[in-house]
Amino acid sequence: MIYFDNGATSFPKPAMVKNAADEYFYKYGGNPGRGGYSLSVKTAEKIFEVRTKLKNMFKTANEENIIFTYNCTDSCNMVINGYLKKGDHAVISDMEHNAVARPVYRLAKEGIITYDVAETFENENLTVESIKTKIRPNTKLVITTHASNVLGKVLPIEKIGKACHDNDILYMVDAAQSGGLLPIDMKKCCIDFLCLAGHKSLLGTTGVGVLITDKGELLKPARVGGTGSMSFSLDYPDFTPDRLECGTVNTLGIMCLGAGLDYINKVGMNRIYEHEMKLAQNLYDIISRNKNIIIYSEYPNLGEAMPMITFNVKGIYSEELCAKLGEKGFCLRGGLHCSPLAHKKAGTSDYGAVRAVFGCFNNNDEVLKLGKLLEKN
Amino acid sequence: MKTKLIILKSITHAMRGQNLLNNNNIKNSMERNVYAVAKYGCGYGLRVSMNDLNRALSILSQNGFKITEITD
Repeated sequence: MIYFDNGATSFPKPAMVKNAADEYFYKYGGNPGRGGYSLSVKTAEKIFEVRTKLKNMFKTANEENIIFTYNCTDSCNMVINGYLKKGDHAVISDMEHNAVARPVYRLAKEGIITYDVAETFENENLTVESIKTKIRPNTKLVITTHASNVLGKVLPIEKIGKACHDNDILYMVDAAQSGGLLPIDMKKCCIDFLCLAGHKSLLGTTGVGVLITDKGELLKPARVGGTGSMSFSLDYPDFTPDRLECGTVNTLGIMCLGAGLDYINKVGMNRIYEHEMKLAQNLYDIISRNKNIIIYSEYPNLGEAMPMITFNVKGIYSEELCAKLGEKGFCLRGGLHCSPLAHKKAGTSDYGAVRAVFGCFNNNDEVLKLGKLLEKN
Repeated sequence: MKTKLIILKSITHAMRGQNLLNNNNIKNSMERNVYAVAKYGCGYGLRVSMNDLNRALSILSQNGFKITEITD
């Protein structure tokens, strides 16, 4: 089997991640923060360690800003539903995943907010200007992906963030694809809410997402319940992470995420990115020579794109091609990738596209095999 | 040596506070006070010597911590 669907979830995981899972089962099974006995405290210390690692990687002020969620979609929902109020306006980009587009659309459909979709461009400054033109007096939130999960395009988050703060608007970034692969400095990029998937480039398991924010007090929690703090009160805590983390956290998933972060720090984020980008460039070079193949993603230049090539073979539906490739042992994803806006932009709404996303354990032989197979189509 | 326990709002606060005091060379240990658990539901705090108490409170306060209670 050759796995090129790392945009959906990374696979396989580093051995360190499996070892962390083993540790959970035998050493850290207490309920973190709920008991005074050593097993509970030790487990809480493990969770705290992961908060510290995330704090350091994404440059936020302290561990309380790290909120563990169910997944990146959950993180996005917490911000969109928790922050926007009646009469507010939001701006999203035309590259957004349904994790952003659907909750925004729903709020608009219910008459709570209004929103605009800003066009993105190859030219960074045009993208920033496009977003600025959508800003209204009641705009409260701008939301963009860091990197499109369809076209791989990286958006200029630092410039967008600065434009938002210049206009006293909060900025949310969906970094589901890029978190762990591209450096993100929240302070430098003026990011108020950073949404991350634990199981993609952060190399953890499914079931854990992260929201990083120093403005958690502005979010109305979607869920309230036990937090192990302020238990005397029926009001939920006004401080993070407790305010936004009710119920027992996913210790197993968080420990695996911590091990994923360790792996990235050990190998080097940039080294992993360059390796994956080289594979993407190689596939691009191979299939761009084939006149039967239409490539939708731009050439994957370092810093401008994700290690992702999106394409179709003329005359074959994307899902049909993926099924054929699957019969030969290749795992690629076709269809709309939960991102109808980006497919509309690419002109592939009717038939979707095939997406190859490379991971740190892929190699060039695998790319050559896919290239060879695609030549036959 | 006489000590005091600074009760904080949550275990996350207590752990960050512990790192902060360690970085400022204030000897401390994290513990859970059963009476504070009953009263506040968290009960995690940092035990410091009386000599270090004021400096510890000042450092915690400067870094945004809200102290729930100071107890024995």
